[in-house]
Amino acid sequence: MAKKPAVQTALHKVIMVGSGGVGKSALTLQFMYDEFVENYEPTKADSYRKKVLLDGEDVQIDILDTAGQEDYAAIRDNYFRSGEGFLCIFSITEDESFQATQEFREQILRVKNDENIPFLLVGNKSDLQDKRKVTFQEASDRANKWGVPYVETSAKTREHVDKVFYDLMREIRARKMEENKTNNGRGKDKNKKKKLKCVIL
Amino acid sequence: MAPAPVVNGISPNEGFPGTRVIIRGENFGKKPTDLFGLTICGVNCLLSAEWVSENKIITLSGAINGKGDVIVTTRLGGQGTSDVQFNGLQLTTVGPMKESAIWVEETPIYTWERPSNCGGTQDPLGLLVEDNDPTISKREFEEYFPGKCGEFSSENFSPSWFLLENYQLTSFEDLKAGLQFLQRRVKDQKNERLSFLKNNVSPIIDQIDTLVNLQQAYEHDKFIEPILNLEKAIKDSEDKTVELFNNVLIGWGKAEESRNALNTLSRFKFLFYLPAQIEKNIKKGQYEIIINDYIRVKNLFGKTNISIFKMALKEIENCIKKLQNKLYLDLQNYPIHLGKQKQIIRYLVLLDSPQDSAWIAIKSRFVYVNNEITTLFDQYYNLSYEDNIATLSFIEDVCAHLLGTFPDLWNMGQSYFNGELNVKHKEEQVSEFKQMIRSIIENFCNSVSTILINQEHGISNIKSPDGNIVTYVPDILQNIRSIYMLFIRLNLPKECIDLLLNLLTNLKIHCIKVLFKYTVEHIKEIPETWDIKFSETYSGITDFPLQFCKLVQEISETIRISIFSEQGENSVIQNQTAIDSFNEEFETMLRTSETVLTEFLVDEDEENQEHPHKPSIQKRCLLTLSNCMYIKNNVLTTLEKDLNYGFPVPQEAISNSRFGLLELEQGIINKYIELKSAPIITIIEESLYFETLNWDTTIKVTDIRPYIVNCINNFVQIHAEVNTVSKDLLKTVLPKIAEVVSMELCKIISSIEKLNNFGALQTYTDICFLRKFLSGFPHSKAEFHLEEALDNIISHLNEPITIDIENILKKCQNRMRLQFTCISNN
Ligand SMILES: Nc1nc2c(ncn2[C@@H]2O[C@H](COP(=O)(O)OP(=O)(O)OP(=O)(O)O)[C@@H](O)[C@H]2O)c(=O)[nH]1
Ligand SMILES: [Mg+2]
Repeated sequence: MAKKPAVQTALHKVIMVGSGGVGKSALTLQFMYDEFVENYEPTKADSYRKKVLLDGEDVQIDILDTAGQEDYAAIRDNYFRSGEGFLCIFSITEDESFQATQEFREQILRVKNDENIPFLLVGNKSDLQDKRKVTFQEASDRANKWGVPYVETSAKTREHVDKVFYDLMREIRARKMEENKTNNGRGKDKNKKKKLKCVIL
Repeated sequence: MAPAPVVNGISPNEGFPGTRVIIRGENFGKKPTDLFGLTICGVNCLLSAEWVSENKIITLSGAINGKGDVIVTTRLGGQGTSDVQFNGLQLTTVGPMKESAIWVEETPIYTWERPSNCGGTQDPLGLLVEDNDPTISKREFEEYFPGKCGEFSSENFSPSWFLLENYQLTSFEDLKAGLQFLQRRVKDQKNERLSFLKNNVSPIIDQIDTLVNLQQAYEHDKFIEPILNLEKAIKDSEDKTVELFNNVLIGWGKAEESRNALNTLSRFKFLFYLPAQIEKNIKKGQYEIIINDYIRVKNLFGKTNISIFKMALKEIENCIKKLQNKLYLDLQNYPIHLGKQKQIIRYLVLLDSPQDSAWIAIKSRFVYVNNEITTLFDQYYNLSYEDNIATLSFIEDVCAHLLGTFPDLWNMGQSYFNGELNVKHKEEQVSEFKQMIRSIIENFCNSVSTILINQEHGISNIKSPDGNIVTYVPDILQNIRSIYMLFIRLNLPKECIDLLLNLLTNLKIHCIKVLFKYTVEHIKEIPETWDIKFSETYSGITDFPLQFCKLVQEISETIRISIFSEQGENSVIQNQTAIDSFNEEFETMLRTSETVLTEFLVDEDEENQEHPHKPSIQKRCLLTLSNCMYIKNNVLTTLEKDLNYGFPVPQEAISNSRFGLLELEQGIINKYIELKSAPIITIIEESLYFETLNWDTTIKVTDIRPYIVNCINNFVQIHAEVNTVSKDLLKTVLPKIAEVVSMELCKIISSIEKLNNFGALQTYTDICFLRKFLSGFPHSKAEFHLEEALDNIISHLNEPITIDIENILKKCQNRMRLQFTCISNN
């Protein structure tokens, strides 16, 4: 069981969030299995894992596809806690789903308590241009405001599907490296901090 | 060997037993039969597994608890691995009312048993046909296959209908594979039945043995009258049952009895212990508990006929009597807080006291309030009246007492009559209570007026160390007024308030008198230094009028503030007696000035002079005259116009005073004239009477005689004297003196019987000169008298006047020009 490889492959935990029916599952399945599911089946919570080559490095991506339906909103907090990066999906054909991203963002920031958590705003169903309700401009404005990238995807045509996952993984990786550095550098400080706290207490 | 299967996707990743789970991954085999095993968290799920494709299996989760891998085993790839995990949730019943942190599947939970092979599954051939929209309608089917049906479970099942309905588009090859699948499953089921028997051989044999035994017993019974046996058994069991039941009944009865006994005992315990308990609680002051117990004991034993209980009750009643007596004592132990008193009343009512405790409380409170007033009064009345402060403190004490105790009495009465104390009152008590209130107020009013409104001892006698009564009057009035305010606040009946108002009014009238009396005394005591002061309007007054004015203004202000300021309470302004009294006293005060001024003029013995620098009577006359005029013209006008009295201006008093002063003024002027003219007249008399006797000789008239010069010098001296005091007096005094002197001169001349020529001429010249001099005092009647005298002299002449009189007069005037300038200077 405890067969540890010499260099453990990195594992990046990605969480798909967004309103119901915007295509979270569709994007995930397209990414995982190159398959597009036409019929809509609301998700509860699905787990996927895949080995990918990220900039020449073998890594594992763990995808948690969450429920968009409001019925499941109560359990979101628990899921979000384990995520290292978030794809916040809305459908460009549905303004309501775009408005909901604000709420998801807030919930994530609240749970993670981290302004710089790796995060991508994703406008899905870009193949349905004629039914577009959310302009590119207003979506990227919001992304700018949050300081996150904005990408438009289509789970149907596979446009930018890989991009969003890879971009997010890169951000997660960068974040981890940065954290490692600071953690190592600050090892002593941390101890000091603890001591200080004790004194105060 | 084919690659090992890998599971890398699971949807959903957690669930209750029976959840439909989609498993995704790789190398799941090429066909359904390649799937050899499927476990989720070690629980076998193969039975419900549905191989969909190389990458997808659908299954139902089993009785899984906790997290675990999903392992797929294939024919060629063997046991695989899992990258994802499934979390099996424990089944908990969640009612509609129970909160749940997890999402609960609302569809009926899958009953965990083998799925039925027919009917239940939509796809018995194991061919996943995704798109099977029926192209043939139900009606058409019924036409093709009359009386048949496409349902597995139906007796009229038609395979053709079924195939057409479900696998219309499926290829023949696939259908064949489906047949195989079906056959395999049927075979599996048969095998299963056989193995079931194999596995359970021994219980089955046991069951067979038991059946054999049963049969044998039955055969045996058949021979020995089974009915009899049965009847006996039934009888036996019936007896047994009755016996058991009776036992139970007896036991229950006994238990009931002992419980009753215990109950009664504890009740008696309460009854017999109660007296001791009451004593204890009386000591602790826990009357509420006693009352509770008492009410309880009365309810329980009040109507008892058992003598021992009666005795106990009697004892308790005695205790309660004792308590009542103690409470009655407490009730009337003053001073006592109203709330406490009410509480005691409540206790007594609850304790069924036969007496009307509330009324007793009211009466005793009345006695307490009233007696205290009397006590205070006696205490002060018997004190020596030289102790003036005592009078003041009597007022303060008695008012404080009333303020502190009266509201409680009144409130107690109100509570009593409102029924707040839970006691019914009698009608006559209302008037009795009113009488109490009335007598307290009367007592108070009488005491206060006896002490205060008393000519000998009252307020007028109050003297503080600095002797200023004025400061006390407002205090005293304020104290009485506070009582009045209290009555208003308590909403006392008008008759009661009127009593107090009456007192207040009398007191005010008395205070007016006292204050004026006090001021009069002060005016009398104003010291006269005779220092001449000069004011803007009047030159030459002393300090007296100024002091006088100040005192009058002060007292007016005090009276305004302490007596006339309260407009609301039966204002004194509307009381004619008060106004009359005020006016009268005011006049008395003003006219004191006349008395004092007159006294200044009294000539005491030379040796007895109190004032070492007391000026001569003449000077005092002049100063007093000046003062008199100043008071009349200035002070009175100020009082008339400038003072804010807060009441009608005492016009009459002022004009009376003015008149009095005018009279005094006249008197003083006359006195002064008399004083001053007498010496001059003497000079003239002596000169004329005695010198004229020798006037037989004839000498030529060349000059005036010395007595005239003497006269003139006297006038100049008077002028100077008056002028030092006040120039204003010159006009008043000097012409009058000139007039008196002239008149006397005229009389003297007319009384001379005989004059020779020379004498007549000389006298004529003299008088002419005097006339010339006195003409310096205008508006005098001196001229008239001198004219008469001259006429008289001329009648004595027997030849015409030949000498140049004018020339002589001019010469003399020239010589005496100093004197002339003196008087013409004003
Ligand atoms: N045309 C088009 N349809 C899409 C696209 N992505 C998803 N869909 C369709 O949108 C519907 C919903 O997709 P899902 O992926 O199940 O939606 P979801 O976000 O997972 O919804 P939840 O399960 O409630 O979270 C499906 O019918 C998809 O076929 C897309 O990019 N283009
Ligand atoms: Mg979904």
